[in-house]
Amino acid sequence: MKLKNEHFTIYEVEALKDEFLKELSSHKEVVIDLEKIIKIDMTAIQLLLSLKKSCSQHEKSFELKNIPDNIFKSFQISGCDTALGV
Amino acid sequence: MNEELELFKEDASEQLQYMENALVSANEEGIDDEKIGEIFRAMHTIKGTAGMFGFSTVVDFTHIAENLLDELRQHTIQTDEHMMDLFLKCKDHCEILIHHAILDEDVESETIDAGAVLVDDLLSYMPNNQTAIKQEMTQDTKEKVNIDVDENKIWHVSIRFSEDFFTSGMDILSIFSFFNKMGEILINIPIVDKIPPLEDLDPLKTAVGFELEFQSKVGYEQIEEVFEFVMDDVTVSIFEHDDLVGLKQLLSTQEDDSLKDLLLEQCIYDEVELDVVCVKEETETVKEEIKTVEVKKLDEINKEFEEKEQTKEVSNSKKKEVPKSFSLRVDSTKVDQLINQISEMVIANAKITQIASDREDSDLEEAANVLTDMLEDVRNGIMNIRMVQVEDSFVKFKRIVNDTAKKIGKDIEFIISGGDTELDKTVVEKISDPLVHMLRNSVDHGIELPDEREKAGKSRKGKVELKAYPDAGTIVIQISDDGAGLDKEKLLKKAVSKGIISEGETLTDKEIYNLIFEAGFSTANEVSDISGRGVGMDVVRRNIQDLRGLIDIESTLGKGTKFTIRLPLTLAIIDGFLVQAGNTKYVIPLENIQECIELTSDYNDEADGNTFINLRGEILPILDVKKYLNIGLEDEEEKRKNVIVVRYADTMIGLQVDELYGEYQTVIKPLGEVFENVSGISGGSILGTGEVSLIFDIPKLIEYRIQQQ
Repeated sequence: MKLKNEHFTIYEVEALKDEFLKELSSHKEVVIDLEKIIKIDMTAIQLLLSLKKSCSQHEKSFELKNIPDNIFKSFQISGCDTALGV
Repeated sequence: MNEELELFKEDASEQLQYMENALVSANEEGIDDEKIGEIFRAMHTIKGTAGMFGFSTVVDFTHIAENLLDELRQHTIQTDEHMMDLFLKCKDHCEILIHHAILDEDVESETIDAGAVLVDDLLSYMPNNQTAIKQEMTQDTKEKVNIDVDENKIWHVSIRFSEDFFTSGMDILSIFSFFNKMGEILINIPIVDKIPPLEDLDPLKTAVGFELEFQSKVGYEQIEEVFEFVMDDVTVSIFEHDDLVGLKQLLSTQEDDSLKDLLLEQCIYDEVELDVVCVKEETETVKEEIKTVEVKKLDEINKEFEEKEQTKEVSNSKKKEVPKSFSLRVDSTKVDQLINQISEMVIANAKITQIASDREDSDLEEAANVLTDMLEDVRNGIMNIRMVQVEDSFVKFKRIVNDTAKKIGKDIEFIISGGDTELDKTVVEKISDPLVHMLRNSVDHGIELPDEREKAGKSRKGKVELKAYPDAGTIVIQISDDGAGLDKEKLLKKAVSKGIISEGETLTDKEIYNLIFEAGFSTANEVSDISGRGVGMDVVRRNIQDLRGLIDIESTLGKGTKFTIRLPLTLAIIDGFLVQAGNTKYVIPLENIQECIELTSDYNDEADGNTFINLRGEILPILDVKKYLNIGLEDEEEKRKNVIVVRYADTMIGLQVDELYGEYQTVIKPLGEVFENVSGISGGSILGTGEVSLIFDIPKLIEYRIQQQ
C-alpha cells in the first residue's frame, strides 16, 4: 500500500488507520510504501507500531519500504527503527 | 493556538521583556554580573522552550547569543557599549523569529539577512568559537561547543505520557531533537507494550513511552526544563545512569518486571545492577548468597534510598509547616469569565436583598447582607488577580524614549516614578499604546534640540517624566517634560488654517491646548516619522475615553508640558450610589461622591440663569438631572430635592436628584449603539427588582456643567 499524502501526521492518522485496517483484512503481507512521505510525527509512528502488532497477531508479515532518509532519521531518533524492523 | 503554544508565546514575550529591561538598565547604570545573568537566563530559557516545539530557527539564533553571554558570564570576554546595542537588536530579531515560528510561517529573506548580520556581529566577539558554531549552524550538528568530554554525564530519562499528550500540539520527535541539541541520545527504547493492536487503537491517544540513555554536560534541572510546558501530561524520571537509587525508585513504580527485563535485554543495565536494586526483602540466606561486595553495595543503596525517602518525608512535613508561595500562570480569559460570573451573582444578590426588603423578612435580610459582604470579598479577590503593577509596562518605555531621542539627536533623561501603582491588567494593556504615542510626542515635539535648549538657558539634557499614583479612586498617569511647552498662538493659527475653529473665536487656555486632540492636527513644523502625521492624539484621547478615563493638559511656554491621564481602577464592576430623578433610577460611581446634602431654600442662590449653591463658602454649580435629561418635570414642587456633590479631578459640581437610596454595587452593562450619543451616561445596570438603572458618566456631566458657565 503506497501512502498518497506527503504528510503522515496527527492530521492523517485517523483516516490512515481505516485504510490500514482494510489492508490488514485483505492482504497476507502488509507492505507500506513511504516513498512520498516528507513529514512524519510520533502519532504516525505509533500507528505503524500498532499495525505491526496486529500483523504479528494475525500472523501476517509487515514491511515498510522506500523509507526516505529524513523519515528513517525520525524512526532512529525515537528508537523505533528496530521496533518497526527497518 | 493550543494551550502549550499560547504558554510558550507568553513565556517568550515575558523573557524578552526581562532581557530588554536588563539591557536598558545596563545602558543606563552600566553592566554588571547580575544583569548579564538576567540576559543570559532569558536567552537560555527561550532557547530551551523553543527547542521543545522544534523551532529550530529560534534555537539556532539564541544559541549563538547565549554562547556569547556565557563567555561574558565567565569573564572570558569583556563587554562594550556596542555589545548592549547588539543584544537589543538580537532581542528584536528573536521576537520576529518567534512570531514566525508560532504562526508556522517562513521567515522573510530580509529577516534572514538581518539575522546573518547579527550572527556575524556576535561571532566577531568569539573568534575561537566561530568555526565550531558556524559548522554547527550549517550542518545542524549537535550543540557541543566547548563541551569537555570529561564533564559529560550519562543520564537515564524515563518518559511516560498522558493519553491526551498527542493533542497537546507538541510532537514527541521534537523533544528528542532537542535532547540531541543538548547532548546525545545514546539509546532510545520505545515502550510499546501499552500500544494496542490496530483494531483497538485510538490514533490520537498516546500509548507509547520511552527509556533514554542520554549523554550531556547539562544538569538535572536543564533536562527537567525540557518538559516544563507539558509537566501535567508527562511522567518523567531523570537520574544519572550510575545512580542505582534512582533506578530502584523507577523500578519500584512499575507494576511488573517488564521494564527491568527490557533494560536488561537492551543491555542498559546488567544483571548484577538490576538484581541489586530489585532485592526488596533480603533474608540472611539471600544475603549469604550474594557476594560480599554486592551486599555492601545493596546496603549502601538501601541506606541511601531510605535516607532519601526520609529526607523527602522531612521536606514534605516542612512544606506542610511553611506553605511555599508560588505563582500560577492562568489564561486571562478564565479570570474574565470569573469576573462575569461574579457580576451576575452581584445582580442576583441584589434581587435577593430586594425581596428580603419587600417582605420585611429580617432573617433573609441578614443572610443576604452576609452574602453581600462575602460577594464583595470574592469580587475584590478576583479583581486583585487582575491588578498588576504598572512598572513592567513602564520600563519598556525606557527603550522607546532612548531610541527616539537617539534617532533625532536629542539627549533625554527619562524618569519613572510610582511603578508600584496597581492597575487592572486590561487597562494597563490598553493604555500602553497611547502612552507610547504621547512619550514619543514629548521627545519629538516637546523637548528642544540640545543647542536650542542651551540658547534658552536650559541644560542640554531634556527631562521626560512618567509618573503614576492613585487619587480618589482613580489612577493618575502623568507625562511631563521640560521642553518648549505649547505655543497657544501657534496652536490657534494652525486650528484656524485647518478649519477646526473659525477666525476670531475666543477659547480658554484649556480649549486651546485641547485642540491638539482634534483629528488631523499636527504642530510640528515638519512631520516626522516618529510621532506620526497628526492622526495620533485624537486616537490617544479616544482610547483613554474608551477606558472611562480623562486626559488633561497643562503647559507653560518655554518651560514644558504636563499631560495628566485619569483612569478608573477597573472596568467591570463599580461601587455606586443609587438615586432617582423622575421615574428613573441612576447610579453614581461612589468614588466620585464627596457628600450628599438636602437642597433647602437656604442654599438656593440663582446667578446668571444657572443654579449655584453656597457650600460652606464655596460656590458649587448645580446640575439638575431632570432638566439635563429633559424628564419628569411634573410634580417638581412636591418632591424633596437632594444634591450629590461629585468630584472628578479638581472640579466639583452638585447633581440635583429626587431620591437617595444609598450604596449599591453595580455591574456595568454596555448600553449599545442606540445610546452611544447620550452624553453623561456611561452604561446601564440591572437592579434587583429587574429595573434598568443608568450609570452616570461623571466626567462628562462635570464637563457639560462647567461649559454652561
